[in-house]
Amino acid sequence: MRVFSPDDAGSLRLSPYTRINVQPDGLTILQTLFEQVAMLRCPPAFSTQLLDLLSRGATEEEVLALLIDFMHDETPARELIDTWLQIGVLE
Amino acid sequence: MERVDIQAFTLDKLTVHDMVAYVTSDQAFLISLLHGTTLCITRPCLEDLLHHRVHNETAFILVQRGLASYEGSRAPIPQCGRINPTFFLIDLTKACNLQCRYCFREPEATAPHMTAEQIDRICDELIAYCQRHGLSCLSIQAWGGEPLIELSLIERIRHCFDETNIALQLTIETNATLITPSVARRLKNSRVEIGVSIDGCAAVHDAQRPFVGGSPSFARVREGIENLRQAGYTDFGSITVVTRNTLDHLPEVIRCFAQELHLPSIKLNLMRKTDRNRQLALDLQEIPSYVDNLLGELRACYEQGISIVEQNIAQRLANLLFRPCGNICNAHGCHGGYRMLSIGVDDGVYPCELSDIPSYCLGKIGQGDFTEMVQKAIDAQMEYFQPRRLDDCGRCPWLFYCHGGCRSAMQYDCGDPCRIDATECAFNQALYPRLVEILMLDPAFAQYLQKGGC
Ligand code: SF4
Ligand code: SF4
Repeated sequence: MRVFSPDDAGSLRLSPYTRINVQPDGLTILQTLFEQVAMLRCPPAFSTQLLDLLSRGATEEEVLALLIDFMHDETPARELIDTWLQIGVLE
Repeated sequence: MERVDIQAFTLDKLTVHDMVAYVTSDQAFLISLLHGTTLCITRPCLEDLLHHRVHNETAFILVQRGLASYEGSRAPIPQCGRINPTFFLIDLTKACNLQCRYCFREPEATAPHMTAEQIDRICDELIAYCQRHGLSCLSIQAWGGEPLIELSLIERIRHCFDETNIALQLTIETNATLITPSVARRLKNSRVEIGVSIDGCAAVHDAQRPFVGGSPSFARVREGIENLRQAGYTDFGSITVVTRNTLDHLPEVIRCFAQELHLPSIKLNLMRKTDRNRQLALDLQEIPSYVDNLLGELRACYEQGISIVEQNIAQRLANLLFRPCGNICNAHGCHGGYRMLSIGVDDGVYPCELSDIPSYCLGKIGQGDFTEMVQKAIDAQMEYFQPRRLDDCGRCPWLFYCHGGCRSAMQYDCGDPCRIDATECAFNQALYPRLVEILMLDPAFAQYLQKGGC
């Protein structure tokens, strides 16, 4: 269980208030508190790798690196993290 | 573990909602009274909160978890308020070959049962309901009485749905005494999921669940379980009614489930009172020590590497961790009618299997859409759907999940379904704080309690 302290705000985790669906063509995450949906087109292997990292908790740099590796571009990778944070998928 | 109440306060555009904190030497577990969401924070972070000092990062996660709101931020969606029944009980028969000491049902001289034509009509109605509402899956539990007395009707339900594209989860709760090798194979062929009603080791079970003629039934239940295993069932659950007899034998009961019967999933429900069984019911004062003993027995299983999940505990841990809405009875109060309906032998539609009394009949099969029946009963202010009287709950941290407990239990107990269910209340008041403590101090055990495994 995550114990929150403002000092560890740099590390990202998947919110427990989410429902995950890994499909052949992508990843869908429903944030159940605010009924927000996040989607990412990617193969299941990448979905698993990303979810694994986020369940364990990782620094923003680690998550960014994984996303850049997949997207080959830093801007959408950063945007994705920001959006997922805003809608409460990541915390 | 100390309890600290945090009153709502506002700082500029941030409103921190009412919450309760359970505090250990280095952590605090926050529970929102409004939304049932939780967050574990460090002690310094709690001190800041108590002094109304909120860092940006803390404000951000409080809003994310629904423990605070920021001007313009969205409020958490209240759960399960929609009338959307997807779980249907079909009362195949009032007949039973056992005569349990605590049974809610009065023994009847001539026990009515459903017919094949009736099952066809009910299934047609359910299929049309799914099609109208775009439901691609549905759960049906065949029950009674003892549902296996009408095994061919259970097979018929599967058959009716096999001709559609609706994914049907078909379950039964059975006393297992009628499960011969061939019955087990037929159940497996019809993809029926099974819950076995069993009250523990032979001493407890036989005292409470004899055959109609009075002879003991435990050995036959064990045989039934064995036959299920032979037919390929591996992960069926069990349901147990906890009475005063259970209290005296709790270690043997759990040992029997874990080591003798190797049940991976058990559910121990506290017996609800009716006029016929009051002497068997636990006193409210006995419930805290029952909870302690149960957790102690489960810890012993954990330490011995035996995987077993008690579902009432697992459900309440899930409430604390991520507020799911799957459970109809205790994730966000009673959702009889909203998420579940029961269809009686008389074709009557009722809010749940325990509320099948004439004054709670919502309509008859074929008299209209199920959701409309429920809406009409709510509009007509049917007693079952009246608001609970929760004044005594005050700042109870478990209010979101409990909401006063089981309406039918109170109907049976005192004729007033809007009163607080004192048994459920005592159970929650005893169990939830212990679970919070386990989550903070021993997360590995918490994980075991929720998911089993070792
Ligand atoms: S009345 Fe009781 S058993 Fe029926 S749905 Fe409500 S809580 Fe569940
Ligand atoms: S019935 Fe008891 S446990 Fe339930 S909300 Fe009220 S005070 Fe809390």
